[in-house]
Amino acid sequence: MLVLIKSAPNTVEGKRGLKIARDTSSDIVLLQDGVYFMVNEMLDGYCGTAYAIEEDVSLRGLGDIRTGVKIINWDGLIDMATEEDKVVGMF
Amino acid sequence: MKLTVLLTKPPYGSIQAAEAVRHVMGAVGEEIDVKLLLVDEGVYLAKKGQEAGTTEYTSLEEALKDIIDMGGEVFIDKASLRDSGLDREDIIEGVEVVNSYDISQVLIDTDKTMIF
Repeated sequence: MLVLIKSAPNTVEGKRGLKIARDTSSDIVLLQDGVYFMVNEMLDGYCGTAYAIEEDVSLRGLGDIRTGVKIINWDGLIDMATEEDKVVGMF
Repeated sequence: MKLTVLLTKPPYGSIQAAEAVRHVMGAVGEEIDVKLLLVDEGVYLAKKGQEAGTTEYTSLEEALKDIIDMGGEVFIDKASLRDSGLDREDIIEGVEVVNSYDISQVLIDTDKTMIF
């Protein structure tokens, strides 16, 4: 299952999205303000695979942040969403 | 008249940061004594290296630099900076890092406060 998170870490929606991803052992895609989860080890303890939309990462000046998050573009997200059996979002 | 604009939201995901910048720029243009305070996720407005690329967004990093060049005063909360995983080197020049006591003094001293 894939969880899409577009809200910043400091929001109820952002926190809820990450919690559901943890609880369901899902992968996550971070887009828009969701890419701020890449900062400050906010994904520590999350065991799934995290992806982030390249355009939103560079727009916010986070291109220099080194984490385990995989950077994809919109086409990549569309491919993933069509291959997954279930997509939940956007938080 | 002293005006303080307090930004609590990160740029681009919502209109708040762009509106805060627009209001501060207008006040500076009118030579109003205005201070911009960046707290919570508002600190990301000052992050270096924002690249609009093909997104058609206006870079708010450039707009913030313009405010500083025009003489606007921009302050950033040290605790929020740390909570957001950023350091002094991650933010643009001309933004002063302050603590919560300094922020409270600005708010006590100001006539009007706008929150975004």
